[in-house]
Amino acid sequence: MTQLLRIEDLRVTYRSGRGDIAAVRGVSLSLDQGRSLGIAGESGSGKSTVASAVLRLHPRKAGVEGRVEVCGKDVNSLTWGALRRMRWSDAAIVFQGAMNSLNPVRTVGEQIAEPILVHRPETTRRACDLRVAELLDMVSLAAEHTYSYPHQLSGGQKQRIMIAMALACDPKLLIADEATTALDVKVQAQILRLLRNLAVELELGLMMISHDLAVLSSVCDEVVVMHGGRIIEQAPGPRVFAQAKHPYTRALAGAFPTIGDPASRYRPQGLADDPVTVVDDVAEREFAAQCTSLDGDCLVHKPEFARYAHGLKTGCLRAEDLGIARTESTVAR
Amino acid sequence: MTTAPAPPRRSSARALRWKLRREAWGRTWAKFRANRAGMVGLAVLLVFAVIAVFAPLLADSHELRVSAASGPILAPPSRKYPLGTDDNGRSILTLLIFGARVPLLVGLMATVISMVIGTIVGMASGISDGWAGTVLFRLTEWFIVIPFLPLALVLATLLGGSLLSIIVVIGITGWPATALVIRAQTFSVRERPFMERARVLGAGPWHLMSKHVFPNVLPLVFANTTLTVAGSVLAETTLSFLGFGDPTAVSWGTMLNAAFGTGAVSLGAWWALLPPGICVIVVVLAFTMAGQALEDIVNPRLKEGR
Amino acid sequence: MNRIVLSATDLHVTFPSLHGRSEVRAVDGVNLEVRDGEILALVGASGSGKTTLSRALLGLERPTSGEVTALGKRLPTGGAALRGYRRRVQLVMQDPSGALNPKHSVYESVAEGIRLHRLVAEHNARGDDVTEVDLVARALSNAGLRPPEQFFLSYPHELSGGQRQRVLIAGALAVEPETIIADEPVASLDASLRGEILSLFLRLREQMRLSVMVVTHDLGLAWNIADRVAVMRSGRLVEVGTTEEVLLNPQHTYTRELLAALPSEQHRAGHEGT
Repeated sequence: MTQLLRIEDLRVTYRSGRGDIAAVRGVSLSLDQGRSLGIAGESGSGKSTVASAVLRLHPRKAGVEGRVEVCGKDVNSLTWGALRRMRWSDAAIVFQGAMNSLNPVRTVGEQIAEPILVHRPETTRRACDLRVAELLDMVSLAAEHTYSYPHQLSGGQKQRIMIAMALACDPKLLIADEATTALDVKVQAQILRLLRNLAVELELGLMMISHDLAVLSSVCDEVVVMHGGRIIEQAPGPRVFAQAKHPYTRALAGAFPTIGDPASRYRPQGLADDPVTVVDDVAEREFAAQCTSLDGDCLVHKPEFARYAHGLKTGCLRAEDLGIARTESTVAR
Repeated sequence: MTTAPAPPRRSSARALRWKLRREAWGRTWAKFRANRAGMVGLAVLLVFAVIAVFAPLLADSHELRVSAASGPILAPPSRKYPLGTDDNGRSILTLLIFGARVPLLVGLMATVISMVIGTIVGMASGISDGWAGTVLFRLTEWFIVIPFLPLALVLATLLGGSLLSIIVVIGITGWPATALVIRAQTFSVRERPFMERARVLGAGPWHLMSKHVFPNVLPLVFANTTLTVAGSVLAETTLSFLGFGDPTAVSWGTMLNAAFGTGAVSLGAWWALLPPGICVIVVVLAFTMAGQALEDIVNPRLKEGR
Repeated sequence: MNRIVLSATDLHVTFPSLHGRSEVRAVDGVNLEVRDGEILALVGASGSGKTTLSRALLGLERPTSGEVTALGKRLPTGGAALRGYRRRVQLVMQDPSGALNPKHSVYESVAEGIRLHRLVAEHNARGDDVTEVDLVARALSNAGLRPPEQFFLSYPHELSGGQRQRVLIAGALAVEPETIIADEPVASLDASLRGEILSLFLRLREQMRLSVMVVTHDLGLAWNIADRVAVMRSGRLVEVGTTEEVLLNPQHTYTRELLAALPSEQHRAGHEGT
């Protein structure tokens, strides 16, 4: 299995008038072909910054340290030309609400064809039309939608078009940044199924970013939870809910109750206060104060990000007390 | 409904409101202070304001009288007359000092008229969906397309050449731009969710206008005022220069008019033309700089776009 | 739990469609009641008409036919009567950052309803010796902002999303309503904060016997706090019942579809193998 994405000790700092803001503070990740990775987190957790760092979409002023490799290429040392080529043919991204970025006066077919013609100018008109039809089929849309204009489509259909556009140049890595957030539950379920099936069929590496832990857990092989620019927990997708040890992950998981579970009936769960957005040591200490099962020790002795049984990794000091066996230490910061 | 204990400290609502207002002004002032161009503009304006207010202390008002003028005619700057003399033998410096009063007074008064009309018309046409709003908007557009100068000249002729009529003329020709700005802002405020919240709380139209629309429009009114004063000062100078001002009052515009009429240009008497001209430019520029700074504070998005 | 505080009878709200050819029936014959001290979840996808229904219940949208009654009295259409109605039924809006006037401090935002309804005079007439400051402080601390004085002089932009939502709730509580309609009260908040705001609704119901109608697309939210659930589609209610009935034993196919669409973690029955 080929490794599509490798991020090593990524640090991204945004420079603003009021001083620097460390959005990502030492994140390491990897993603193999045919696998899916979910990044969960809330506003300010740095999850979207990680996504933009993969395609070097962050503002030029942002300070980036660490290594990001996509298909073996070091993204941060690519020339602009090479970066542009990489952006559609190695890795593509679908944003939240991206469907609103469709050009209203051009047909859907023309817009899907655009990246193909830009990246492979030698493509003939005929080959291009065939490819568009194939892509529409991939995202389960009828071929006649080639001639539709965006306003004739529903939100879910537009999101499918965006996925078709992202797939136009056969990328190996697909990044979906809150790609289903603005959609209704039923449409969301359809799009998620589509993404999962595409990842399997095309052997894509799928990186999904969402605030919705339930969505990630149901789609992804592996889920990491980010908070304050760090990964605080990592677990196999289906196990995140059951195994989460870090109090923050548990609060996040509590926000998506299992319907029928008497434990969550009349007992909504969550953190006592807002999650920390601007990250520094003080903020971290405040977060510890909210943590119900920790006593703040983890700030005195910075908790080690350790690997536990069942593929779980967590930065929680009490993980062992909470009854899982530690297997080996990893260094993640 | 009592679940919480009464607050320990009883401060009155009015005291609280005053504290808030003071803090808001403090914040605006702090931001203004950080804007260098705005501070330069403000400093220049203060200097001119002091000159205008204390003119009788800085120069002798007797010298303004043509009959009392004792100096040579159109003499270049000398020790006795640092900026030379005019065609009547009066000191240009004295004229310049007293000439500051009319433009500033007319500019400010006319702006007050423009702002009141502009704000009322703008808010009313922004808030009303019915025919009243349409009529007001058409009226605004109508005033905007009419060129300023012919309209002002016609009005000035009709009203006669007194100081008051100049103020009225400039005031009622200067409001449409303000009305448009205020109307646009009213429209955007109207659609904000907090308007709906206030409606659900039980607010009537008057409460919505005074408590929600007006405070959100006010900063724009202030910023616009400063910019409008600049226009009004320029308008006063223009009208006076063209001979439509109050012939008995000295202003930079009438100085320019006199210099032009007596052929100061062809005689090469630059001292009769340049000082009032430069003063007008400096004052207008200062108002614009201060106004721009205010606008940056109340509408930061404009600045980013620039 | 029997008294009906708010009800809609055969309610229709129709809008002219964009092209003027036909009309859009946003609410199409709805019968719904909110009972004293209950939490009712009105669930539906976007475009189901749930927001229009809630606006009609608040008197913000005039029904085409049918009627809205509060405590047996018909919803007034204007004037002092409508203002009186506003005191009894309050709204907590979806987007707390837009729903607070940026020029008003927290104190002013919360005091607004108190001033509009002259509540200080009303309390004093009843013999309560309270000032406006007392009432504002009480509303803030009931909404979980403690100590309230600390928030008086803050402006909305200085607060976090969760705090802003609490200020909105405090503003609604300040007029001492019987019913609160909350439109997606947690949709724009971070997920980990959801629990606190939802707990607040449970607590308010407990302590003040407040009736709450939550308008939401989120079935998990309904499971968390609602006593009853009403499912809406295309302007009609397709299913109304207790939360357990509707969510655990859905009768209508649409409700089943909604449940099946939930990610597997949230709905074990809908779990599909990958």
